[in-house]
Amino acid sequence: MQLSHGVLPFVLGVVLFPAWAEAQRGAVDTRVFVYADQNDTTIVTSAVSASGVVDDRVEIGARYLVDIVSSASVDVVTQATDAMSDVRHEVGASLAYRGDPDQRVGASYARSVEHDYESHNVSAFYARDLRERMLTLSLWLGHQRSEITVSGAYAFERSLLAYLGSVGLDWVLGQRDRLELVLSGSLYDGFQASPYRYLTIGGLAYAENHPDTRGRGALTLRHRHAFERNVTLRTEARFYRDSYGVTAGNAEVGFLQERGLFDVGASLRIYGQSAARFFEARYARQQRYLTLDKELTRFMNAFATLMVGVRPRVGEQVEALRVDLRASFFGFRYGDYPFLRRRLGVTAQLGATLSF
Amino acid sequence: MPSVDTARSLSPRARLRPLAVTAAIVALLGGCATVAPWEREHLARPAMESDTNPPATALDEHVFEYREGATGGRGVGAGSGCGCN
Repeated sequence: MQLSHGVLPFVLGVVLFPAWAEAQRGAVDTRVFVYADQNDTTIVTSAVSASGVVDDRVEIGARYLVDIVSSASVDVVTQATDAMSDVRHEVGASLAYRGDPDQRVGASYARSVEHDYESHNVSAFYARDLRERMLTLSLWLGHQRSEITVSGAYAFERSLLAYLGSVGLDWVLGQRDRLELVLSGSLYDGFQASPYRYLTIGGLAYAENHPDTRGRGALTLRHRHAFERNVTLRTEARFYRDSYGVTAGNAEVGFLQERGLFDVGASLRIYGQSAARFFEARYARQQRYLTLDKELTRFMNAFATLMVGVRPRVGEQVEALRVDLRASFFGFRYGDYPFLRRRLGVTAQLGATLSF
Repeated sequence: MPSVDTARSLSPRARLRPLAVTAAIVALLGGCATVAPWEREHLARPAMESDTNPPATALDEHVFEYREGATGGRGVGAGSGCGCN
């Protein structure tokens, strides 16, 4: 039953394709994403989005997404909770305006709902091309408000506010090179632990407790180089630190090649992080902050991704149709998390984008 | 109390750091040689865009968002949902 709900946006997107093809310039995208790991966690995501241009200056967009999560992962079961399953719905809308050829401004809103979590997200951006379009400056600001509600014997209601921002610079370095730099910062204030994780210390159970305030900063560098034969090399490096004491970084290298109606690509991404300063594999006594969150432990992971796209010839009313398939194989290795040492898995997604 | 000579107390590497950062920025900006519109054939490839497939990237990023401790840096907003599993 849940699976049929999840496939609904995908089916809706396929049905909507002909209707949107009759409309003015725009695009419709529909896709299905699957995540599965060896710890019995499965996620099926189905999403559909559409955008259209009005008067060459205004672009409107909308999207709908459904996540279906089921997990019997060892770290979930160990915390004396049964295998869980959940459904998340997300709807969003966006509006962008191009006042002149070199400036764009826009805003978006998204709402996400699951049985114990509801959030509202608003954001705005401004982008300006400078120096004869050799340099693009972009600014982005966002705000999220989330409500976490748990019913039953341990009922409680908490909120989480987030203030986010980023500045981006995209340089054209030459006829074949582009370099992008993104500096991001955010401040989270409110409940950030899990309402379902408990630690046992001296035979007594204690609820997980994280600091209410978490400041985060990240710096990303991306480089693209165009080789002959339509081969493009893409590299990325990111550095991250936060007030919990987590220091992290990732590096990614990949290529894309366009070959007639097809394009193919591959990439490798490696990530590593240190543990939060208040994380301990085993707490000997109760402390102000306690956590069993494996995302706050020391670990590293690697994702190897293969992708292929095809652009079949379609009717004259349609500008382009692109069908893409990508699959990633990943592995996590945890340094000091007591319930999980490693995690292997795969993600796959199939999507179709119609432009007209 | 003896005065502290801060300049002398810095290591040579620390003193060179601001210079290295400035040099890197100047080098980057200096790299912005103008490329004429008719010379942008390679830059116009879809693969040279910052994000070649935003709907697909959003779904991939959602996995990183909730299975790693680090977020931010994509230049777009974070997702939503608790991602408790």
